[in-house]
Amino acid sequence: MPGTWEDETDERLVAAARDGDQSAFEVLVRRHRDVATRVAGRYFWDGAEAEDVAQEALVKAFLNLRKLKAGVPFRNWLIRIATNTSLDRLRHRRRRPELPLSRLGPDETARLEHLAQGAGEEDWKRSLARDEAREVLGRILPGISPKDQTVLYMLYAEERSVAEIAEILGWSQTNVKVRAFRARAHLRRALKEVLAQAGEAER
Amino acid sequence: MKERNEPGNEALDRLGRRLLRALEAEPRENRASDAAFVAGFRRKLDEARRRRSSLVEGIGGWGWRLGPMLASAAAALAVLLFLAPPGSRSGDVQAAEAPETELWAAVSEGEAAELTGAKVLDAILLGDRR
Repeated sequence: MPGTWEDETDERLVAAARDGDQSAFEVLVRRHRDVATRVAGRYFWDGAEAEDVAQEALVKAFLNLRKLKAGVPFRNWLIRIATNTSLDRLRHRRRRPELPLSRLGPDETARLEHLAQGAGEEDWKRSLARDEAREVLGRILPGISPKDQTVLYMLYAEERSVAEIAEILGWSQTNVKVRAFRARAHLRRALKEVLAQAGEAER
Repeated sequence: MKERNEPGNEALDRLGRRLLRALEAEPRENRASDAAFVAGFRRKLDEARRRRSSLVEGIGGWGWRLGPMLASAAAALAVLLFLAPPGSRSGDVQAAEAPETELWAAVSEGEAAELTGAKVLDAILLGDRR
């Protein structure tokens, strides 16, 4: 019965699902759908599409459950599958068009400059909403390859180490380091450009 | 004119980190309910299973067709090889088979039944002397 699975650990649910119990896996679906959607949402900003990719990743996870190695947390394995599913789908479509940085409004650039000068966390929360982050990153991220973006998110947003990222994604640590270096360099350059524009707008 | 401080790499990293976290932190709009999400999962799972089974059926169908075809081809080849006149075989094959034919011709039927490794050598020498 589905209700009886709710309090079980991921490991127990995986074991039951491996034995063919789909209801056990559906508990995992409900438990980890947000993680999968968050990962997909890095590449697909439309919420419905991100959920569609997350569902596809969960189907792949269910059908390949026997490949999950002992000791690997289901959540980490799902992150890898969701990342690969997203990257696969991206390959089949054109990337988001890059918008010129000059199209940022003066308010946004001024706020960014303020933040870069070291505004506090509360100030940050008040001054920059998610939509504005989306606005700025929507212009910067298309210049970074999807795989480099993956590393950037995991380093910055999830605060994971290079070793952890390499383990989760199944990439070498050198690969992760190179991608992190490249992505960070691009991000710095692009943000510097945004801030320079903010300065020009004030003059 | 207002004097500006050029932000250093640390400040830029901090800004980048905050932007990325802000983007991920907030719940996404239009989030489907758990029931709707699971229903979508089930629908995709059914589709994936159907695709898998049609793929297996496709391979199975080809197997049913390919099996008899391969068996017929092998039988035809065997018949052709059996019926082929000796002159049509390659010279290498004939040369390789020649000593064996001579060997068996060199020994009598009774001797052939008792042939062992040592006796084969004897038979060859005997044949050479004949």
